This record gives sequence, C-alpha cells and structure tokens, in this order.
Amino acid sequence: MLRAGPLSDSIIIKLLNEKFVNTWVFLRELPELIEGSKGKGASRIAKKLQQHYTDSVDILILTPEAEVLLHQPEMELPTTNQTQAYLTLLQSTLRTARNEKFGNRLQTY
Amino acid sequence: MVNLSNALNSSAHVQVQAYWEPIADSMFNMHNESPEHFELFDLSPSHPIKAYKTEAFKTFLPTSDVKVGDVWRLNSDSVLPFLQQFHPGATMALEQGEEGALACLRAISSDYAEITFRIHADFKLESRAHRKWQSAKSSERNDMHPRLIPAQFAGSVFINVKKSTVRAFSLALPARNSNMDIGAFGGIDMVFVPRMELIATDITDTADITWNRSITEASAHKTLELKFYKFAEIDWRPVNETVELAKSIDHPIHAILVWGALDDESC
Repeated sequence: MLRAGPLSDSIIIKLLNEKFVNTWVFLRELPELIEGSKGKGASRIAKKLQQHYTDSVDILILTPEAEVLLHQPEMELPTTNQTQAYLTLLQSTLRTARNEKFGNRLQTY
Repeated sequence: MVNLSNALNSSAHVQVQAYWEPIADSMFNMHNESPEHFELFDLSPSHPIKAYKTEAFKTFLPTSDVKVGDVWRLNSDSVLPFLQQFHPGATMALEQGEEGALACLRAISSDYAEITFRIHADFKLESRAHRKWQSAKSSERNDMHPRLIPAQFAGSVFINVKKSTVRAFSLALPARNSNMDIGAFGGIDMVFVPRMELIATDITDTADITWNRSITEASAHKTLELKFYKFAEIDWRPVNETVELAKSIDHPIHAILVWGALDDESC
C-alpha cells in the first residue's frame, strides 16, 4: 500500500517536502472541482486527474502550469522494492522537469 | 506535568446517547444492491442510550504524569464497550491498516482537563443471507464477515478534576464524504454516514474556561495523526493552493487521486 510503503519512507518524505507541492484528491470530488468550486488552479489539476484516472489510486506529477510530467497508477508499481521504485520515479521526473524548464528557456532566448 | 490517573473516582453514572444515521451517499450504491445488502447495512445504535459508570471513562486517562500535547495509548479492551453501544460486532482488530487508540492531553486548568482521542476500529456484521453465501464459497476463507470500516472515531473527554466528574464526552465519525468503507458478498464500497456519534454533556460551552495550558483542537488532532501515520509528515496542501504555491516556488506538483481519504482508515 502506497501510504504504509513509499509515502512512509523518510527519504521520500524529505524529497516530497523539499522539491514538490503535495496534494491528494477524492475521486468523487473531481466533478465539482472541475466545475470550479475551488478555483481555476484546482479545476486544472482535477481535469488532468480525471483524464488519467485508471483505478483506486493514481499518481500524477505535474508542472506548476498543470502539465502532466508523469502518470503512475499505484497498481502498476512493482510489488517488490516499491519504495525504491517510487523514489526513482520522483527523481527521474524532477530531472525531466528541470530539462523541460531549461529547454523552454533556450527556446525563449 | 499533571497526574490524572485518579481524576475520575466519582460513583455517578453518565448517560451517553448514540446517533447513527443511514448511509446518505456512496460510490457504487452497494448497500441498496439487493434486499440482502439492505438488511445488512440498514443500521442503528444497539443502545440509543446507555449509562456508564464514571470510572469507565478512566480508560481515556493517562496512567502516568503527562503535560499538554503528550500522547498515550489507550487500552483497546476498555475502549471497546463504548463502540459496542453502536454495534456488538465492534472490534479493534483490523484486517488491515493502523490499529489502535491514542489520546492526547489538549488542555488543563486547576479545575478541568480536556483529552482528545482517536480510535481505529471496525465492525463485523452478521446475516443469515451472508452466511449462506459464505458457505456456498467453501473453497475460500470462511471467516470473512461483512464489515464496516469507519474512517476513524475522533472524540474528547472533558472532566472536572476537582469533582472527579465527566462534564462532556463525544466520540464521532468525522462527517466528511467518504467516511466509511463497507464490504459484503465479495464486494466493497465507499460510503458517507452523516452522523455516527456518542455524546454526553452537561455543559455546552467551554469557551469561558481559562486554561493554564492548552493546544488547539487542530493541533491535538494533528499530533494524534502523526502518531498513527508517518506519511502525515508530508506537507499535504489543499488542492486549491497547489498551483499558486507551485508557481511561486517553482516546484512540480505531486498529486494523488484516491477513492477514499488518504489520511484515515477508510482509504
């Protein structure tokens, strides 16, 4: 289980607190969030979550502009070494985010 | 530091009322799927009113010296009779998740003390139809009871230390949607029960009390949550704050979409 596994690992908790903005959302709340009940930002996140919904737990990593960098259904995480796998996902997505930022800046210049 | 272990020695009885409203919302409407499902999940308190000896509430008190904000573990056997006021199938032995019951001293004055607690418990249900269904599935586990898995029970005991009396008591399922999982006939669902509460009070307002030391209710709840779940150390933000915050500190957003709440046992 995600909660008792990767999300309870001290290294992952430190990484999430230092490098990410973390949130969780009820599936059943998506329609009203998409409608804008909690503002435009929440609506954009909710739309992306709905577009990528597959099963009981879905993990998304998004840019601050709410563009999806990674979608990972919990059920498709490996059953062994799940914590290491989650850490690797977070770290590689951070690298992707940095590269995208760098790439966008190169295009701007 | 304060010692409350002898704070409830009164011979008085405390009348506790129980409320349990029907399921008001659900993800799959499983509780109405058939007359057999409806029979199982059409629930109300076993004892709408029950008198407890004051000393029964000692189970919520610390057995040694504590200070405001300290947390201690409650004895499951002593907590169970309170939950059995809802249903005799109450159990503290969970099939999965974080077991136990914890309490925290929220506030203290020379006359009063307030203790906040959090309990994780399930309810095993029974019905003839389910037993019949179970026996037809003899190749599988034969100890699979229909089950209710409440998110948690949050509550508080407000005591008069000088008079050794319980002034107020509450134990309730947080009223958020979803707040309970149900399972029967091989299926599961996530449901919303608007009210499931034990309550006893002879005062309605503690705002006039001058506490010598206290922490907020939110802080007490967070302290208990952190004792149950290490993942609660993650700085979770409401979804409406994430985009603006992510833009301001230029961090990606880590978002999890879940069927049930991440921070309780109905997940």
